[in-house]
Amino acid sequence: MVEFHVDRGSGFPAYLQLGQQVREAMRLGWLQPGDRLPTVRDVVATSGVNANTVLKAYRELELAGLVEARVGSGTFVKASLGSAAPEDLDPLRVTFAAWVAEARSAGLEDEDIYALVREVLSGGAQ
Amino acid sequence: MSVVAADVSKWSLRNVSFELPPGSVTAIVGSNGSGKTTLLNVLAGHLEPESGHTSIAGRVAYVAQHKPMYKSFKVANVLQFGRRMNEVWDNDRAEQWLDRYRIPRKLQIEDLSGGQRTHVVLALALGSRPDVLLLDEPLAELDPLARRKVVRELLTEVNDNGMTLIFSTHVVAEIGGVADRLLLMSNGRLLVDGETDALLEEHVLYTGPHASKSPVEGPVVLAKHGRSQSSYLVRSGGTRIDEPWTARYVTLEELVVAHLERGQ
Amino acid sequence: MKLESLIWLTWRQHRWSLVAVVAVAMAAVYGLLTTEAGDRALNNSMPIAGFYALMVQLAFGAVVGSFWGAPLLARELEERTYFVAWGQDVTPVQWLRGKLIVFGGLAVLLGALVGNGDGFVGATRSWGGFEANSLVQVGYAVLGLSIGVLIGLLSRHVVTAMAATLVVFTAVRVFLAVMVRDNYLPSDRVIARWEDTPQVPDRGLEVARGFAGPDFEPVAVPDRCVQAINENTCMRNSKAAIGTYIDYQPIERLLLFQIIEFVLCALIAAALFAVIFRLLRNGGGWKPSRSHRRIGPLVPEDSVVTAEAEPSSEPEAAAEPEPRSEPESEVAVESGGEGEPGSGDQTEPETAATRTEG
Repeated sequence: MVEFHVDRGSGFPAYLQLGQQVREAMRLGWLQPGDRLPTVRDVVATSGVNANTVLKAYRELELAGLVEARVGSGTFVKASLGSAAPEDLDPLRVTFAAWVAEARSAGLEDEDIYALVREVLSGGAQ
Repeated sequence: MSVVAADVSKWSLRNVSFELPPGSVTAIVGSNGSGKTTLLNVLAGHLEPESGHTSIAGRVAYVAQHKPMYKSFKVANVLQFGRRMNEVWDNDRAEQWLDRYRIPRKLQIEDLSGGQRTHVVLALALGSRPDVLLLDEPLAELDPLARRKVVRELLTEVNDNGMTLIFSTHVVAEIGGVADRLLLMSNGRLLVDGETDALLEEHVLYTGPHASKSPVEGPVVLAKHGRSQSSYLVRSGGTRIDEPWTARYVTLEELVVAHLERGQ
Repeated sequence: MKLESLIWLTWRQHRWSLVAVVAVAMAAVYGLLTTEAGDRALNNSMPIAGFYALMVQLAFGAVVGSFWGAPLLARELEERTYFVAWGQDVTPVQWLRGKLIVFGGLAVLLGALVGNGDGFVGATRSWGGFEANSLVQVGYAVLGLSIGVLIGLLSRHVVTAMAATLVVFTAVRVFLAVMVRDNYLPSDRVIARWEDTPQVPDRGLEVARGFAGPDFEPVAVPDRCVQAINENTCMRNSKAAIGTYIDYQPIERLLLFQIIEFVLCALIAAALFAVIFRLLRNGGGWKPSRSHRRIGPLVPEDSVVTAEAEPSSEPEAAAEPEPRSEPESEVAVESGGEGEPGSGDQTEPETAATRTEG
């Protein structure tokens, strides 16, 4: 189950934030095809987001072909995102956690780590 | 079809005109004295507009800014009052709201804290099962934690009961994801009226070398020029831009401030 | 709206002032009763209890006006609780009507009791005890109430309204007693020739006296007689008058005059109440409440707003849910001229239902 969180001050529209969080959860394998997304009411009640915003986010995911709404029973994950299988993901996570611990002990702050990750991902520097 | 429509002038209001769809959540934002309270009073029917008209489909409940309530009443009396003074009264709904915030029924209104009083007044408003709920600065007397909780609960009520919610606030940082419509007021005028998400997607801030002209098409909301730099907030709807310009979306707060600055 | 609810509200809001005024009045009633039943040997004397009752009779209308009438609207307006009072299904007019029925009914009842005796031992009838009458007291109480409510509505401030009510009511009452009351009916006249002095018949109320001319009508005193040492002698010697007269109201008219005063007070009160309701309904900006809420023209379809999917869970909803498909993005912007393209992405919540207003 995903817990949504909306950064209210952000310039990123709330419905896009929700959509992004669903995508992220799918990439990380927290949401598998067939899983049900929380009902609109649940999202409203737990994260204080307008129902219209949630509906909009779900509709956007549906248009992207990631989820499908089944009448009367809710919204379900249809596709899977991300190329990695969960069994591949787990060892990677362990290695990465170890790396992060090492970075922290070397005195890197979160921001430094993010910057480093971004840099490596974009293949820049060196 | 709209559930709330207004086209009014009154004292500080000048030709304020808008329509709101049913089930929407609208934030009225503006600096102090911009006419938010006057507008809400007109919508609630407590003030008659000098010209124009308002129309609201269904029952209205209004929580005024200072959360007025009879000081000599006990909390339980407020519920009795609601039951006796209304043809439609949902006692459970009001009771639940009070339970949720642990408001003792035996206390007198004058002994309640500002936050508790807000809850009592909200309970009375919700108990009357309004189709349109008008709130003037509803969160002003609540602590940050309670604010979030109240927002969550109010939005749940909106979702469960198809209520239309209109509230005024000056804390812009708290309306992202909460309000799907924004009415931005300044000096009694309506500066901006639109869907929050759409507004955020339209407004793009372009920063680049000093330039006397906006680098993109579209209405310029605000242009600022430094010694070697210029920035343009444009309602263009795209972040595509050539070097050396950079583009980024703005926060709701930046958007509001820009429009207010421009409105002056 | 049920009267019972408004009685409850009136009691809950004003119980202390209700209790206080009723207590004052009941003490006066007790004073009257003990006095009337007092020792016959003390006939025509006034014990202290009777004196208290007389004081209450003097002030009763002012007390009702200041403590019941003035705060009635002034407190709501001053503390802004009119948002609460008139934000419910009860309209301001129903609300005020209910409250006035309670206060007015009590004022009439208490007035009738308070006026039932004159503070003297034994039953007597005199012009001096004009106000010791149930009808008169009822009239004053209702008049005081109406003055208080109107002043409260205009001043929007409790203490100001109470003080102003006291002043205005007293002024009206004194004006009635001094300037108006004597002339409800043309007075009777006794005329005496020079050798006699006219006498007011038993317990009559003298309203005027002077010199009578040959046609038995009052004559003015000429300048030279005004300056004379003895006006009488001067008038007689100059044959300017045939004698002296006294105009008076006979005691038999006492009850009639009391009825007239009551009717007068009641009429003034009715006029003031009419003004109050008119102000409340039209002016002053306190329009409101649910049933008067639509201001200006209304498109009929607005009264039914519904949504898709499952029907609303409100059984009492009068409106029938009907499918609503087109997204709403109608936007109108004034001032600044920034036309706003609605994005058409607007979605509806799962349920949205309203009823036609009840």
